[in-house]
Amino acid sequence: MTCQHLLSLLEDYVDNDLSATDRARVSEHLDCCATCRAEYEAIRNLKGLLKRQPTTDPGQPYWSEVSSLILARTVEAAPLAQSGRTLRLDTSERTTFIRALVSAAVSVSILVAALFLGSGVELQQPVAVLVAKQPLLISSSLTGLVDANHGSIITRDEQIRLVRGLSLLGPPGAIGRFPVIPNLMTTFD
Amino acid sequence: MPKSIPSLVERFTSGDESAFAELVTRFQKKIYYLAFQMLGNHLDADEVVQETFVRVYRRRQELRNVSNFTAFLIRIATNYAIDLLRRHKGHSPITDDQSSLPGEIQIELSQRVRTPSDQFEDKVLMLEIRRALEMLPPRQKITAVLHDVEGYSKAEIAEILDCPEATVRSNLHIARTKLKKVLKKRLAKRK
Repeated sequence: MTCQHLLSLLEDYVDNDLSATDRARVSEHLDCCATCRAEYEAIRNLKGLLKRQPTTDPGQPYWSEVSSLILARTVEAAPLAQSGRTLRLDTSERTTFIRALVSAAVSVSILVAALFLGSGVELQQPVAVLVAKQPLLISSSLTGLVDANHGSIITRDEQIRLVRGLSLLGPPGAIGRFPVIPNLMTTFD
Repeated sequence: MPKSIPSLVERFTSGDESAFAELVTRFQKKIYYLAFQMLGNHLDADEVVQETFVRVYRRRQELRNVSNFTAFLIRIATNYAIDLLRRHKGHSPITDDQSSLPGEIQIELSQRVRTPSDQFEDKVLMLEIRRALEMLPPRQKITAVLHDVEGYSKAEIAEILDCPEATVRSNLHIARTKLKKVLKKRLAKRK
């Protein structure tokens, strides 16, 4: 057996995938060829190292949780599975879709609430311009706006309603992201 | 008495949800460990586990024609892992900070008494091997993991990856050649 022939059989020899006859021939060659023996040792050592790759057990709480998650997700998938259709959305697409839905719902609710709260108030021009140009600054200027002496312009009741309306006119998602606004609102009640 | 896999699959395809839950319990660890070896981190392994079973559920009608459920399941898991590997191409998700993972690390490296120096050396070595594996293209990496880490035969891998056994041999040979080259010094040191 030549070295070249042996090398073509060497991996199967290490994997124990050779016939008894070929195995005996390879063994015989390895006993008398140091070069092929070194190659055999390298493959065997590599296989041994790969076999020793550590695994990590995330623990029983994880197994229970992931089972529940899978079963919950299959409940969502059930109508699709029964109808024989294939859901094309992968995880990231589904997340994006849900976020878009939530964002749309929040935007609509903000618009409705803003219309409702601001229905009895006519905004002064300077304030309206401020809101249009710098909506992100609303939350930091609310206290000053309420505390300022605007008695000659609008009543305190109207100021409170104005603040509520302005806070809702901020960028979508501002309420809830910045706790200062809801806290400020409760002090007026 | 534990129920056989074929009977659980049959009950599942007939609409028995409890059979599906039983299949999840039986196979989730196998899929997790396999995915962890392929992807090298908990988050991706978790995603593979969830997505694999959800896909199996959606394809329950196909199971009537599947003779080897385990191979079918692992094929779905490996295909999804390949997708993730391709998506992650260019950055390695591997971390050597395994303490951030939940649970206890189970490392069975040697039966002999180990010094802290030995343990550190082993940890470095395992990280080097994982990094070397990470450099392989997805198909070669998964073939090497299935064969040399998980212990599947070439015929089983051919069934799992839905390819000829000759392709498995070829991928395994190329993967090992590349790994030998990268880990040359380490392999020589172990003689």
